[in-house]
Amino acid sequence: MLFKQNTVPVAPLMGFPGAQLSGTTIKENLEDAATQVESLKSLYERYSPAAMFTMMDLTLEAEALGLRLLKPEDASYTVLEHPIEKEADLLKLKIPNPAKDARMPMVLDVVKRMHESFACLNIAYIVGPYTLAGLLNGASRVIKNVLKKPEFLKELLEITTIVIEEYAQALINAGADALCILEPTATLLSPAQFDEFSGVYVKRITDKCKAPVILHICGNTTRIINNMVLTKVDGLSLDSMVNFAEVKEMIPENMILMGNLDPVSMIAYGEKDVVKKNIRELLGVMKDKKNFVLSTGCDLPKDADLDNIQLMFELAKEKSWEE
Amino acid sequence: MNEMDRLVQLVIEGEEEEAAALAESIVPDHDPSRIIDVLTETMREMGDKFEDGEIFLPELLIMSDALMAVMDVVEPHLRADKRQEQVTVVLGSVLGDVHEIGKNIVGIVLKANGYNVIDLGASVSADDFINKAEEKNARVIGMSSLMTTTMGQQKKVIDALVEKKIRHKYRVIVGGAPISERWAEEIGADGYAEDAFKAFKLVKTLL
Repeated sequence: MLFKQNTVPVAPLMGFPGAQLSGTTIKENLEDAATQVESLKSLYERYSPAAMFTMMDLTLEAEALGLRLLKPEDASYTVLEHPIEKEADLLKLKIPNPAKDARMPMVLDVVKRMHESFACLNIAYIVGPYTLAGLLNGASRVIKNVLKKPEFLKELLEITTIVIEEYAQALINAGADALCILEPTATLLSPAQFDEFSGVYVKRITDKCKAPVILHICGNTTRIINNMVLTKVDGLSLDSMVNFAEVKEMIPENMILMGNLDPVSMIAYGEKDVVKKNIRELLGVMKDKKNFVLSTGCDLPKDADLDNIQLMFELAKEKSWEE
Repeated sequence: MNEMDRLVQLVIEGEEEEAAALAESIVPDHDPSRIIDVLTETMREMGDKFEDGEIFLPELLIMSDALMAVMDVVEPHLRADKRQEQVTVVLGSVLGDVHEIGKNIVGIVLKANGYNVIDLGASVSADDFINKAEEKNARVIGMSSLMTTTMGQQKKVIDALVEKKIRHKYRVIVGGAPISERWAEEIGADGYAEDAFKAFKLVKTLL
């Protein structure tokens, strides 16, 4: 198992609240390794979580593939163009070299410093194959192409899978203990479409990867959880719309299940009493599950209530697995 | 299969060009508002199937494209008085957010149901939302946000409406993956809908 503790491990998907603590902008953190690590360190020291994550950035691999980004001062980056529309465009794509292309070396440096400074599990994010295909092809198109141009889409997925595999290997070499694949776009697919256009590639990345892999998909994934399990990843991280009481039996005992407090209306901005009640309910639902890790369903915003985050750690200590 | 059934079939299959061509050929002999009614009904049925998990977003999106292609052919044939009664809805994804699919489907469903939809696209500033709504005499402003990091922008637009003392002129609706009923209440929106079909029902109730 990834986590070894007597109480429920707590590992919120947090990075940006570290920028709040360090008084830096999101952009400063996404451009500079020292700044990012300083922010993460303030989170690590404040909470001692079971795992630390790099700052979430879905544009990292796309930028290394040459796409232009919108880089706001204090918000997540987004991709500005989706130039891969047809087969001929695939030739434009050059597999990035993680040691030198775009901000990949910066993240490798972050991971290296995390490995040196944090005694917890250090997890690096990588984008999912279908989600990266969506950034390259355009989100609307990548969804329609499941039906309209499946052959083209699969050729694109072959490329995104290789990009991710190479970057994943570099992250592991830099010191990442585990990787977390972010595959939000796949939440829009049917179970069969998920298997065909995401699951099979996620499995390939996981098989090749020499470190444990957690698969994170935002939104209501209830319909595809069985298919996510089939990818044989080491853990699933699920969003707040999923009812853990209903799905917990679907996850095998040797697969971590992380989640799934509402990051925004609950942890970031919720009233203390409501947040407490919510956390206790979830701990209650999951009390018989040793593969459970208390976390947020998705990334916490920068201005999240730091005391609410603390509540996750305090309340998790109330329960012991040894009861 | 008659021509109308064939048209519905092509729309469901997402055969955009064929559907538009067929619409072109049958529109002289059919009441255009009848064609739109039939397609709206089709969209509603597909919406139910979508909500029940019988079809998924890929099917819905290719169908919407075909539906829009047919609407573009049929709309100019509608009598002018039919078009003027339309309520105007201004839609957009908030500043910093480039996710448009959900918002686009909301637009399609509203359009198919007779609303005049002005889609401002992605990363729309508070000023742009408000200026366009004022200029076009809109009655509804719809904002989408797919990221926890951009949803705060929805509040900024509402606050700006309040500041300009024009909040009462609009029904403001919000949506997007991280958005909830609770959030809508908190920021003072008039409503939240989970998906495009619920958004249409919401707009109907609000007006």
